[in-house]
Amino acid sequence: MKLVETLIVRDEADVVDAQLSYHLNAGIDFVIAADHGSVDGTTDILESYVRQGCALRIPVSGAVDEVGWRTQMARHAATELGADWVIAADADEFWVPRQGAIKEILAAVPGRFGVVGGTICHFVPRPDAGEPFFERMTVRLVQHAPINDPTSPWRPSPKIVFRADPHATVYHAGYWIEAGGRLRDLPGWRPFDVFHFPCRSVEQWARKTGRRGHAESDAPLGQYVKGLQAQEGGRIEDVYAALSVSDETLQRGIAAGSLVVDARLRDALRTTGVPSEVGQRGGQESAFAGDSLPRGDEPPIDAAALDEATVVRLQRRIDDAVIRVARLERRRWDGLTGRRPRRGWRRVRGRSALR
Amino acid sequence: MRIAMTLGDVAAPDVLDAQIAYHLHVGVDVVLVPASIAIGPVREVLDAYARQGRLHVVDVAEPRASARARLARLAGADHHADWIIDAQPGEFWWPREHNLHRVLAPVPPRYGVVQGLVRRFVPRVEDGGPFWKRMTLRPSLLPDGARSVSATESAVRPVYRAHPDLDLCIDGGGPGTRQPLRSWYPIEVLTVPGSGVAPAPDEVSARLEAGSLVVDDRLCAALDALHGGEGFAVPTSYRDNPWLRIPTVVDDASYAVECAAVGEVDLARLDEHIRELESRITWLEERIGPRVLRSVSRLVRRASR
Repeated sequence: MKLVETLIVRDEADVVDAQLSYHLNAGIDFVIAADHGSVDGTTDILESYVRQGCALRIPVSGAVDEVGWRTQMARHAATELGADWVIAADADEFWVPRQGAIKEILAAVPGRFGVVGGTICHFVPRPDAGEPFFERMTVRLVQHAPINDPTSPWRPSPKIVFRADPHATVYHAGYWIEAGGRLRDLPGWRPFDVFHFPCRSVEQWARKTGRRGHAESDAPLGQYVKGLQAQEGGRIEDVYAALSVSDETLQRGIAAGSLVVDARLRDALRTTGVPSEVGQRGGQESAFAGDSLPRGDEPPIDAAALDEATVVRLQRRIDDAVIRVARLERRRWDGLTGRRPRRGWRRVRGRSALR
Repeated sequence: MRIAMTLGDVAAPDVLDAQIAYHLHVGVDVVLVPASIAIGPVREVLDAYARQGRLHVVDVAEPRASARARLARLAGADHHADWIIDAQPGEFWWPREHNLHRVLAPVPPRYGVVQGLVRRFVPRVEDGGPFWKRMTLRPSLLPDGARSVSATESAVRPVYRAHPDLDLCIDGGGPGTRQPLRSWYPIEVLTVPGSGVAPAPDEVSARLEAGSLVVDDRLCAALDALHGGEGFAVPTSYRDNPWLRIPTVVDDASYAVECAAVGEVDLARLDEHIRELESRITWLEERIGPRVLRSVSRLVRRASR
């Protein structure tokens, strides 16, 4: 089995080395990374893996084209690398099997299914004394109900790994895939925890929200808009402090069951080291074969929250569709009655600059 | 960004005074009230704010229900409001941030309605002190399996993005014109009861012990701070208030459970909404009805030339 990971990265030097090192030791055979104009040393890190023969760096520029870039990389994995499975990941994500090794899990998937889900597990920022993020960020949020706040980085999101397909189209952040009906979802089983480290330091969060809160895409996510507004108001440190978990908050969260200490990634990376000489093993075997990777032993509460969040997302998409249908109805009715379509109301004052 | 609050009806003068002062401190830029309610002691309260230019008494001819909608539209058109809170008597809209602007500014533009989670204080026996001193107990929204949460309609209250056709319903302008942000409520609506029977002390103790009643002294602390024993001052603009704070991730996780308990979105409602959408799409796809209508309208237009 050949397993390929695709990534879009931009200025993620604090995390990308650990990300590649971990996955190449966890059973990923090859990484394709779209490097979106990094200037912080990310490019050098990627090139070091390219020299080891286990990565391909594709420089990209201009406006973010997430669907286009992810799709191109996934198809490249299928047609040029002979991949069997593809993980469309982000630089701040770590795919951790709940049991066994990644390839063992994928090998067990019946042939008629082509998409397997992962449950995103958000790790919260902790006081920063200069250690690597994986040494200090060992506290995970457990959502007994989903945080459906569109301006929060802690919303539950689906993630997928899928069989390589030369005609696959990969949508937003690798949340879902379209391959002409050839790839069926495997329902009811999410054997992967996708560890997510979106906020790692105030500098990194400021950089990320500053870049992505602007109209880098048509509809910047609320969490980035909020961060950008905080920066413009000189409040980014306050906002980051609210995202961070102090010792006191940690104790409160543990007592409430909403925070748990989870050192699986830290322990894994201590085993392999960062960076690791992954090229020595050619990526053929997992350093965490069998059950050697520490397992999550709590019930999959996050998976239930993700299911609830998915229903809410569907409702919001339906609400969106209702608006579009209403627009069509009015247009049709206006056409039938000879009325001119009403012009959109334009506010001339007080418009938010951040739409 | 500007936020307006409209008051179609008012509570007792002391509650009204606190309500207006509180909202001007947490981010409301202008308050609109219909002239029909500005009488007697209420008028005196309103005048104090009107003199500072923070409140406008508006003559509206419409009946009470439509007067509220008219006020809301005026808030957008004449007072350049981006968001409009159509407040009920005794409501104190509590942002889960330092002020209302911080909550509403980053809401993605696709959402035309944001909702607040209603928290109703239980009535207490009057003791001659300010009303807010008694507003410290409310039912818990956390599901305990022994009772159901109140119906969605009374559990949440909408705040609207301004729109010239704004109507005061959940989608704020007729079916399918404004998209509500569902299942997350960035504002809590702390509600002071207008009347009601105060529970007996024994009952309060029992409910507190059972967890169906919780202590919530946030409004009390806020109004204490604003009043300072000398009366409410009219702020020149809103500010960050020390008694409002950004919730931690632990707070958000706990709040999410309460939001889920409202039960605004579930598979049954999803199914209902899909069915409604399907029927509307069917109407759009229909050929016969629209053709007949088109022919009739063509004839009418010809006849009118």
